[in-house]
Amino acid sequence: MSRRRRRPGATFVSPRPRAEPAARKDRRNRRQAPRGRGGSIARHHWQALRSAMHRLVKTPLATLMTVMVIAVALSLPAALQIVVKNAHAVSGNLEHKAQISLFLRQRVTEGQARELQQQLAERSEIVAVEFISRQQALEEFRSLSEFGSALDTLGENPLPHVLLVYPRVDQHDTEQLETLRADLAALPQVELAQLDLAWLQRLFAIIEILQRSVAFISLFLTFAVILVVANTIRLMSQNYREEIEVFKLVGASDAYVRRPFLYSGLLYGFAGGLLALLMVLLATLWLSGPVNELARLYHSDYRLQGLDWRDGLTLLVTGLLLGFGGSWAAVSRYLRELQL
Amino acid sequence: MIRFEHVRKRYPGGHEALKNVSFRLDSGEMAFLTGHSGAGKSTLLKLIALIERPSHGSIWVNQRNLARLHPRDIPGHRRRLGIIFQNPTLLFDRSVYENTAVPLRIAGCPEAETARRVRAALDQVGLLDKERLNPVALSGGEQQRLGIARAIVAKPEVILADEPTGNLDPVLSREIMQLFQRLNQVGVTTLIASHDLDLIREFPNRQLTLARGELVGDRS
Ligand SMILES: Nc1ncnc2c1ncn2[C@@H]1O[C@H](COP(=O)(O)OP(=O)(O)O)[C@@H](O)[C@H]1O
Ligand SMILES: [Mg+2]
Repeated sequence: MSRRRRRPGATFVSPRPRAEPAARKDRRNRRQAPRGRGGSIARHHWQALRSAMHRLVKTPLATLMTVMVIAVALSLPAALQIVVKNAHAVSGNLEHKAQISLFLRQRVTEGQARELQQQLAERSEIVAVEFISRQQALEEFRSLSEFGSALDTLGENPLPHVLLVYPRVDQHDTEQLETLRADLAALPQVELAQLDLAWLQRLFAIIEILQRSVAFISLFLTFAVILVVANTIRLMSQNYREEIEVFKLVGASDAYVRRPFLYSGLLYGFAGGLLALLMVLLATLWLSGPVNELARLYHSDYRLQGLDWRDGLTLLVTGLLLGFGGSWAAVSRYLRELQL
Repeated sequence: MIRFEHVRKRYPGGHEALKNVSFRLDSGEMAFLTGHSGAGKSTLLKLIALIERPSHGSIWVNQRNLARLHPRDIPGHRRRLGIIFQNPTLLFDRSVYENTAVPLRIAGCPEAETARRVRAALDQVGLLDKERLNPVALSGGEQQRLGIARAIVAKPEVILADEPTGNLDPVLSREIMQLFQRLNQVGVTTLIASHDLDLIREFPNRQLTLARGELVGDRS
């Protein structure tokens, strides 16, 4: 910059020779300032996190309420998810619940029946095949039925060999079971193929409804959490308007201004998720006693299934993401409106 | 260096706050910007700080054409300026020290260097012994000086002050202006808006005069 252009009339006290080295020193300092870019980024994040925690602690009641609302909103879908999980568990090992009974023709010998058993067991859509010979069937019938002795009077065993086919079960498709049944019924050795589907279909329908409700409620409550966080952060950014303005006027980027708010959102989400996790864990703990007792009364070794570590992690990450999303939306909008 | 070339500023609503203003302020130079209230002084400073955008013409600050500056580069531009407002926009939820440190924190300055620079800045404005206080506990003149400390702490290339003595009595006002002169002696380009002609008369610096948005005087 040409110093010669300075106005001659300026009776300036500034002695230029002294100004020179100082100016050079300035430039040197400025060059030093960005030293260690990584360090400065880490410092920014640490500052933002501290500032976010400070903001939350400064309004403890408001923070607590926000966290509780988030926790309730997150724990509801989590609790319903547990219900679904247990419905699945109750319906249990469906592969052994769904079965197709093949009543073989009278002329089919035991050897032929066992051969068919092996052939069928190799098919991919079939898990296992059990063989019940007509003698076994008769003995079972005798032991279970009061008519057992009546059968003796017949002289000849009227029962056929039976193959119990356990198909692979796909939850969403009971049609394929029907197809399989028709397929098996068409076998020359088979007299009759029976599939009891009604109860299975009913169960699947119930689980399906349950799952869709959970999905819907989850979506709904996810949205609610975003709104709660966004609203809280919006109020917060209004409270910090002066600070934001000062920061922007002395050269803070939007990212810098946004960061403490994002951390606040993250902290809300994390605390909400953690509280939700705690609430659900307590609820399952509280319920597991009676449920397991009930199961024992029904001679079942069924145990109430709670959240596993993956569900817990999902809950926390969901909380974090929603907190982040909500605060991002709120503070970005605020910065746009501020136009500084 | 600050250069205005045929700058106009029309606010939304139609009021033309600046009409065809051209001037040049060299690096290291200090000037007063005078004129009655409403003449356009604040508007002119806001254009330099990119708080407002000109409707017409171009503004250069140290070789940078502000019209060409990407919004992304505005924060960087502002970090090279030290801005002082009539009402020092202080943050009353933190100490004098922390108020001064704001620009350094934004720049990501390491803690040790921050401490050193904040103390140097507070020392320059005579507030070193009050660094732990809340700005509420400061007098009007001290608050104004704190605003100055914050503006100079990051060693700006340009200092812009908008009525920095607006709220102060004549003795304090003189002290503040003398402080600006001292700061200017290390080569910082300085532009001070003030309508206090009696005060300005005491100083030998260049004087740009605005009247109804036009530059009507340029006196050294
Ligand atoms: N944001 C704004 N919108 C509309 N008009 C404005 C705005 N800011 C300032 N003005 C007008 O522009 C003119 C110059 O204002 P300003 O630059 O603040 O003058 P000064 O600082 O010299 O008192 C005034 O008439 C004022 O009313
Ligand atoms: Mg003004």
